Amino acid sequence: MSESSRRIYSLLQFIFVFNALWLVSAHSSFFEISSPWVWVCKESKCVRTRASETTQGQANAVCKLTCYESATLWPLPTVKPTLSKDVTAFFASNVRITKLTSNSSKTDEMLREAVAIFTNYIQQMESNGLGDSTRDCVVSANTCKSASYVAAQHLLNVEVIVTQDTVQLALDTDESYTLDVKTEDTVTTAYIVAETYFGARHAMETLSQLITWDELSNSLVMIQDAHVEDSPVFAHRGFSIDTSRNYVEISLLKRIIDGLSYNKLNVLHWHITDSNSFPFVSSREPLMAIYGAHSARQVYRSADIQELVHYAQVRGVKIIPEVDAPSHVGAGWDWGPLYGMGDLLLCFDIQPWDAYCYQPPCGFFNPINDKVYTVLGNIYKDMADLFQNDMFHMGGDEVKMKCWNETESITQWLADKGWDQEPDPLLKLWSHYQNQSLAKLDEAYGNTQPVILWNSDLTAKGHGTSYLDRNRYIIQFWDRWNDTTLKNLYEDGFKLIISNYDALYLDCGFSGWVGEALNNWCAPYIGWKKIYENSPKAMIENFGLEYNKDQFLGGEAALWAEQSKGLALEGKIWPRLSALAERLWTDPETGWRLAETRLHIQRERMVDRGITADPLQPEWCMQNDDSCFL
Amino acid sequence: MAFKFLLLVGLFFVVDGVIAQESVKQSRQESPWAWACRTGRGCVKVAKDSPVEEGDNLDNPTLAGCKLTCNGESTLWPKPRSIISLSKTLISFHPTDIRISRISAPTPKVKSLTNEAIQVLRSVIRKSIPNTQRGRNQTTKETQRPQINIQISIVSGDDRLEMTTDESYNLHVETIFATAATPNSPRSTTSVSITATSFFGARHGIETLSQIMAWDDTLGTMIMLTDVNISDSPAFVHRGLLVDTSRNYVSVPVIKKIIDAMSYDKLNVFHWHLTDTHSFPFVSTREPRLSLYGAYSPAKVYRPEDIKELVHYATVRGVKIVPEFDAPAHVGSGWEWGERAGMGQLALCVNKEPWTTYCVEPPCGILNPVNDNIYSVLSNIYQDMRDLFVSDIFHMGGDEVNFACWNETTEIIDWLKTQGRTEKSKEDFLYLWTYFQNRSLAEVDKAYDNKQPIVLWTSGLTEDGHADKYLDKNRYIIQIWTTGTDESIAQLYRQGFKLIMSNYDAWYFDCGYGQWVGDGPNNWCAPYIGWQKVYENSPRKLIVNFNETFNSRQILGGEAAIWSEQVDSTTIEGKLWPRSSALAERLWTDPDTTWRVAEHRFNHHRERLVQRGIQADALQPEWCHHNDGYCFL
Repeated sequence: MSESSRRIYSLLQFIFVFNALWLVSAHSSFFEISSPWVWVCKESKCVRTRASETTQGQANAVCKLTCYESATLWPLPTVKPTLSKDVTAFFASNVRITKLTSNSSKTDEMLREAVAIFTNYIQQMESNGLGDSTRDCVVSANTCKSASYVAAQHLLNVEVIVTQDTVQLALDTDESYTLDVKTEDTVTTAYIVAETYFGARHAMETLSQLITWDELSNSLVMIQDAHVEDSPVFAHRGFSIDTSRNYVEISLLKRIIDGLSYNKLNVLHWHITDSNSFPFVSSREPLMAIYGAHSARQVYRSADIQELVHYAQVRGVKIIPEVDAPSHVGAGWDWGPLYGMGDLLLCFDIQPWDAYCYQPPCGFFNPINDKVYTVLGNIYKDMADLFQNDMFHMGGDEVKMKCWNETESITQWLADKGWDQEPDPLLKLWSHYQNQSLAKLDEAYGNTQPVILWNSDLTAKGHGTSYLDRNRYIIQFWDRWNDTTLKNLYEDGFKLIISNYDALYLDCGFSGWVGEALNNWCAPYIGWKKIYENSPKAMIENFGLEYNKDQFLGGEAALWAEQSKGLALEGKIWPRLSALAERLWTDPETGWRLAETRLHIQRERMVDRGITADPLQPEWCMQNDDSCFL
Repeated sequence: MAFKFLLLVGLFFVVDGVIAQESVKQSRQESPWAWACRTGRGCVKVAKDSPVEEGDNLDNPTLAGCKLTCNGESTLWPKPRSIISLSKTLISFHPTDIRISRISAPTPKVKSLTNEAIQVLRSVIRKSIPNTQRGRNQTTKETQRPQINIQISIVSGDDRLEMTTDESYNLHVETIFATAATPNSPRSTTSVSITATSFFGARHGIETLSQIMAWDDTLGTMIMLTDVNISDSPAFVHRGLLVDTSRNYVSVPVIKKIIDAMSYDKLNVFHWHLTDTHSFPFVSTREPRLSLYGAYSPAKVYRPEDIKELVHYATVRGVKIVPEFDAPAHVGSGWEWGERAGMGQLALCVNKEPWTTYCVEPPCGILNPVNDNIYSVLSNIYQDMRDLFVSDIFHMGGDEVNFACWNETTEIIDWLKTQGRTEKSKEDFLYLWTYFQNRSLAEVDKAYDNKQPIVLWTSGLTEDGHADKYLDKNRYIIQIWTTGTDESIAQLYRQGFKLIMSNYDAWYFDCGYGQWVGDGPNNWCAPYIGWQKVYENSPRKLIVNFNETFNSRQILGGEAAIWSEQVDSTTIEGKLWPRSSALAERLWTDPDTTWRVAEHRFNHHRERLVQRGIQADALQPEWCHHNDGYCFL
C-alpha cells in the first residue's frame, strides 16, 4: 500500500509544483501563487531548489520531517527511533480515537483530556496552515479534487493502552512509552502503549511531532510508519518561576505549563512568595495576602490553584510549591504586632539593605517567636490541601546573619539557651528554625515527604552533614557549575537538582535594576547552546570524580522575576528552556550543533501553538540548512 | 473645595473584594496600605494605621493619585521641556464625561486627522481601564457629572510630517468646581485647550493630556489633574526606531503596535529596513519577481495596500515612515532571477561560501553595479516606494560593502579596465561604489522628481578622505552606527554633514543575546544594553566629547535599531519597550539630569505601556514601583 499512497502523494506534489510554475510565468497575479522554491533532501540536509529544476521538491517542513535522521522530534527519544521516509496526507477531521484502555476511570478521564489536547494541536496546525484560505473539499458532496480526495479519505486512528493507574506524577513514576505508527491502505494507526498516564501523554506529544503542515498539498502529512521507544534519563525536569518579585497571571502560568508539556518537562517549581510580595491566598491566614499582595488583583486563590494543579497534571507536569524561609520573607508578615502576635518578621526593609541582605527589601523570620511556626503550619496546611504531597521546597537560601545578630531578643534567647557558647550560635539557630518548621510541614501533610533546600551555609561542607538528613533533604544547587560546593554536596551523598546559575538562570544579562551597574549580577545573557551543553556528568567529571547518575534527580532552569512580568517573560523562557529539556530527557553525548536545526523547528512549533518564543536566527537559516555557521 | 472632596474619596478605598471572598472572617477587607508622597523619595507604601512620617503627604493616598501628583513632572513621559504648572489636585471622571467642544483646523484633512487622534485618545483611555470595570455604568445623574471639554486649535495645513514641521504645542487645563451640587449643575467643569502650529504638535498635546490621567484601581475610577499649563517642543527633530523586517519578518499588526507605542513616547520616525540579503518582503508592483523569489513565504510580504494603510496609521499617530532600500551590499534574496529573465547577473555572490570572506553575516550578496539592468529594476522599486510612502527623506543604506566579491568577478574587473582602472585597489572599488551610488541616486531623483535629502550609513564611503570627496554634504545625511566615541563622528561633523546618531554601543537593541552564528556565548555587540545606558546616550554630549561646539542644526537626532536576526513578531515588543522610551526622553527632552532622576517616572511609564497593550519588558520588582527610592544601592 505505502507504494500506492506514495505515488498519489507525488502526483499531488506534481500538481502543486506545476501550479506554482504556471503562476510564476504569470507574475502579474503574485498574490495568489505559491513560492518558486521547494526543498530537496540531500545528505540529511534540506536544500532550497527552484521548483522547475526538480521533481523531488517538498515543502520545507515536510522535507525536514522526512530528511533528518530523527525527524523533527524534540526532545530526542532516548532510543534511536525507526522512522519511514514516506508521508501520508490527511485532514484534521480524520483523527479518531479508536481505543482507550486503562485500569481506572480516573486514568480514562485524564486520557480523554489528553486526547482532546492532542486533537486540538492537529486542528490548530491545520487552521494555521490554511490561514485565510478555506478548503472547498467535502468528500460526501464529492467536491474534492483528486489529490485532496486522497487526503480527505485517509484516516488516522489512535489507540492507547495504559497498564498502571498512577495519576499523580512522582519521582518514581514510569514515564516511558512505546509508539508504533502503521499505515495500511487508507488507514494509519498509532498504537501507544505506556505503563502510566504520563508515558501515554508523552507519546501523544511525540505523535504530534510526527505530523506537519504541507503547504504544497494544503493538507496535514504524517510519517507513515514509525517505531519509537522512549523514556527520560532524569526524573526531575523542571522550571522554577518566581511570582513574588513580580506577579504572573494564572493565564500566563497556564501558557508556561503548555510550553513545558510540549518539551516533556515535568516540574513547575513555584517560588510563590518572597520578601517582595505574598500573592498566595491562605484560607487559614488571610492576612498574609491582604498585607502582602502587590494589589488585590494580584493574588492566587485556592480555586485558581486547584485548577492550575489539575491543568498541569493532565499535561504531565507536577507543581512543587516553595515557601522560602527564614530569609526571603517580608511582605505579608508585617501584621504580627497589630494582631497581638508579636514580631513575626525582623529587619523588614531595613536600610542600608545591602548590609543585611542581597536585594531590597530585606526581611527575616523571627525564629524565636513561636507564632511564626503557628502561621507557617497554617500555610503548609493550605498548601497540603492544594498541591501534591510527594515533594516540598523549603527554600532556605541567602540567610545573612547580621539581622539576627543585631536583634537583642535573639542574642538574649541564645544566651538563655546556652547556645552562645556553640562554635556558630546563629547557624544553630537557623538549624533550630529548620527543624521546627519541618515538624510543622510534616504535621500539615501527615507524612515525611522529601524536602528540597537551596544550597546555602546550612548545606555547606561540614554543616550539611551535621544539620541535615541526606535521606530527607534534596539539595538544589545554584552556584557556578565548577564551584566546589557541588563537589562537597556530591561527596556528602545528597541527592541533587542542578540549577547552576551560570547556565540555568534565564534572568541573567538584562539591565541592572538596583544601583549603577549596567547589567544585572549574573550577566551575560545565557544563550541556548550553553544551556544545552550543561550536563551533570561533565560537572562531576570536572572534579575528577566518578559520575553516579542516581545522585542527580535532574535539573531546573529558573526565571527570577525581578525583571520579568507580563507576556514579555515568555520570550525569556522559550526556546531556551527547550534546550534544557533535551539535556534532561535525552542527555545526549552530542553537542548543540547537531541539535540546532531541530531546536529551530521546535521553536516554530511552539509559536504555532501560541507561545511567543524568541527566534534564534534569521528565518533564512531555516530555509538553508547548515549555512549559518562560522 | 476640591481638596475636601478628594480627602473624602480617599477614605473610602477598599480592596475590590477579591481576597475577601476567600477570607472566612473578613467579608470585605480594606487594604491596610496607602501611599504617601515622601520628600526626597516619591510615593511610598505606608500602613494606614501607622503614624505619618514628617514630610509625608497623604493628600492623594492611592497609588495612581500619588504618582500623578507627587513630583514636579507628574507621570509625564517624555518630560515636557517647559512645564509652567501642574496642580496637586485631582478630579475623578468617567470616559463619557469627555466632550470635544471645538476643533479649529485650517483644512478638512487636518480636521479629519485630528478627529482620528481623538479616537485614539478615547481608545487609550478605554484600554487603561481593567476589563472587569469597563462595562460599569455611571449612576450619577448626567447633569451632575463632571464635564471635561476639549478644544483644539491648529494653525497650519501641514498633513505630512517633515523635518521642518513645528511639533510644539501648548496644553492648558483648568477646572472650576461648583460651589454647591444642585440637581442641574455639574460637580466640576474642566476646560482643556490644546493649541499647536501643526496637527503633529496637537497630537503630541493630546498624548500629554492622556498622561495627566490615570485609572485609579483603588477608587475604581479615572482620575485627572485639575489644572495644568505646559508648553512643549522637542529638542531633536528626528526621533526614531529602526525595524529590520528582512532577517525575520514582522507582521503588519505588530508594526502597528510598534507605531502605537512610538506615539505614546512622541517618537516620530519609523525607519523601515525593509529588505536585506535574507529576504525581500516588499511587494513591488513593478517588479513582482523580487518578493516572489525573495519573501520567506507568500504570506510574509508587505503588499501595497498594507503599506498605504500603515503610512496613514502612522501619520495619525505623529509618525513618519522612512523606507530604506539598502544597497549595493545587503541584497541577495529576491534578485536571483536575472539570468533566466535575460537580464544578466543582477546580484553577485548570493549565498556564497565561505561567507566570512565575502560579507559580515550569512547569506552574502551584492549588486552587480556594471549591469545596467539593475538600474531599471532599482528605478521600479524607487517608483513603487514613491507611490506608497510620504517621507521627505529617503534611506539608501550603503553599509558594509566588502570588495572581495567584486574583486573576484570578471565582469567587474573587465568594466574597471574600460575605465582605465587595472590595479584592483581599494580606490578602484571605491570608484565603482561611487559610480553605483551616483547612478542609483539619479534613479531615486528621477522616481521622486525632486532632490530630497538622502540618508546613508557610515561606511567605507564615508571614511575620512572619501566622504568629502565622494558625497555632497548638502545632499547626504549620515547615520552613525559606530561606537559613540569613534573618530569618524568628529570627522563627519567637522566636514559639515548632518548626522543621525545610532551608535551601536548604546542604541542597538539586538545586542547581548546568544550567538546565532557559530560558537561563542553572546552575539557580536554584547552585552545587552540596559535602559540606563540608552537614556544617558546624549548626541549633544557625544559631540561635546570631541571638543566640538554642539550645533543642533547639524545633529538631526537619533534612532535606536533592532536588527532582526534574533527577533520577530513574537518577542519584538519586549525588546523595544520600555528601552525605546528611554531613547524618546533623550531625544525629546535631552535632559541634563541622569537616569536616576527619571527612574520612578520610567517605571510608571512602563506600567502605562502595558495597560495600553504593549508587551513591554519589566525593569524591577513591582515592590520598587510601590516604594519609590528604595531600590538603589
